[in-house]
Amino acid sequence: MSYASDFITTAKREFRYLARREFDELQENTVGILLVLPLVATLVALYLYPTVQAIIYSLQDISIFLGDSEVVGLANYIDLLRSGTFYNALWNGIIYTAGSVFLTVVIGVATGLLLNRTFTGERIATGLILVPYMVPTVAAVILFRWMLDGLYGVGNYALVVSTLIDEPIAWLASTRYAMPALILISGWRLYPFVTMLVLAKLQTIPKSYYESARLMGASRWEMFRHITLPQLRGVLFVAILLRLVWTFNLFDIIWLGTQGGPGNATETLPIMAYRLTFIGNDLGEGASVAVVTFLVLAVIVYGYFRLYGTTEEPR
Amino acid sequence: MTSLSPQLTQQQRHYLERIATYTAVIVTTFVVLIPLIWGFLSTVRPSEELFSWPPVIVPSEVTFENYHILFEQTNFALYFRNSLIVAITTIILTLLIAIPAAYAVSRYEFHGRRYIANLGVLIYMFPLILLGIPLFIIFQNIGLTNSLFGLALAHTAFALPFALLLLRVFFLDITPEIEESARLAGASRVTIVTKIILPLSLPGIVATSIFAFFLSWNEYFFALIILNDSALYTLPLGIANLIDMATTNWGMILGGVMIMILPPVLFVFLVYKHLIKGFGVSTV
Repeated sequence: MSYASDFITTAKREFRYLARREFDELQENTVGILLVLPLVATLVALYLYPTVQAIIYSLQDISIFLGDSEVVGLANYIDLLRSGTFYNALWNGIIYTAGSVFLTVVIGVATGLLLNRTFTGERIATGLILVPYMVPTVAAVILFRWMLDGLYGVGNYALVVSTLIDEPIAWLASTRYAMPALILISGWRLYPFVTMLVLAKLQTIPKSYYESARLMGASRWEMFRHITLPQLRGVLFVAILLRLVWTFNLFDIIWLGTQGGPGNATETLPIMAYRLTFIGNDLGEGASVAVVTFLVLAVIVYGYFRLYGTTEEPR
Repeated sequence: MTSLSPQLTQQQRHYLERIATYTAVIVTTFVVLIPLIWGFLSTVRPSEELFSWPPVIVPSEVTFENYHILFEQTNFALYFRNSLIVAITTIILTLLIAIPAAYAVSRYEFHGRRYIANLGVLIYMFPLILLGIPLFIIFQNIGLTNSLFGLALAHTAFALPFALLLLRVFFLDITPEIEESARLAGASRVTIVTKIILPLSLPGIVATSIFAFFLSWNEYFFALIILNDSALYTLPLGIANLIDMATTNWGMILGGVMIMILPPVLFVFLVYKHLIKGFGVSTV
């Protein structure tokens, strides 16, 4: 009994020793590949394979329950390009993305500049101003739904008292105001991302730049215009690019806020793809919308690089 | 400004500037936090007060009734537990996969190393919906829908690219000389990693774990697609569902929101430094 277990322990130790030695004697190339293998396998299984599948589904007439399917070529895409709902969703997505990115960048840069100043309580103020980014999306949307409630919302109250509006508005239920409300929610939830990037960059600008500018008699505004802004250019390029991509693909804020409604007033391409697939059960059409979303985004990103990415390498 | 400045002494200007800075900081912080402050106030006041016009700003009395209702009449505790299970599983899977990969990318020369290191950027361009639709079918075929593990696996896939970037930054901070001398002293590859690399990069591992936690705790879309059984709902799904069920009880729903917000917000103050560092470096 004890002999057997002794034997097993020794064998295990021996095996582990051998395995280790074996591992140590492997070539660097082999070790490297072995170590990244799990990562690559996961990414292939959960990114590459699904993407290929989505493209295949988009070329079929197929329901979410699978069953009978038929290859129809580009028919789904042609139907899509002929439907008004597609252009509506595309346009909504562009408006939503432009509005949200603008708002997050403006608030993000302003708060970043503010937090870069020296004052007591810097750490606490920075933490508090970054808080909205840590608030889960669901929580953020519910907080705003409550504040913008048509009957009891305190946001409406503030606007009525300040005579900006005459009577309370049911923001998220209104064709006209639902989109601005969604942009407001996104702006609040996402600006700290820009704040963090801007702040991180500002802290790397050497103080000596400002000192020598001051010696040369430069004003505050001139220093901001000629030192701060050019230094921020690279980080803003990246911040806008990432926010552009993520906002165009964004699903949760819109779905939780309005489900794309009222009617189709706030339906963007991701919402449309979800609705077609999981509510309309039309896997083929839904997948084609998802593929088109990706293509449209690729065009936008390409255009963005052509416009702003030319002169210098973004840092 | 220009017409005023000659009359102001250096000292006066300095004070004015201080005052301006502090005012701006206080006002900005307050404005930004209004939704949270108002949300919290709404949970601790008597329910009648929620539905009055004009709204009552300061609660007439403080009550925790809403939190009682939340735990006694809804499945909130269950949703919380499910979210925690998924988040912890995500953290473990992410670390298990990303640590070896990030270490390899930062230390070993091998074929395809450059591509792996730059993978993250490309992957974040993917529309979630483009992955979500086929993943639902794939997960259904292998029995991972209605499974917390399945959800954690999807979350891991999203956490990996950024985890790789973040960990790599911390691994690159450790000078190769330390490893070199350990190797000369006869330490094996495994020993070097477990006894030197992992302890030295602990802050990076903590930051990565917290990032994975944030991602999983917040994630709504995949939970919506993968989970049908309400006993498996995570917090985002569960709370969103409370609205649909009981639109009227805002106090209770906001109570759930407040509890859900607490863990990630507490984390910000703990890892604040690393977050800025991670964000700063990840864009270079």
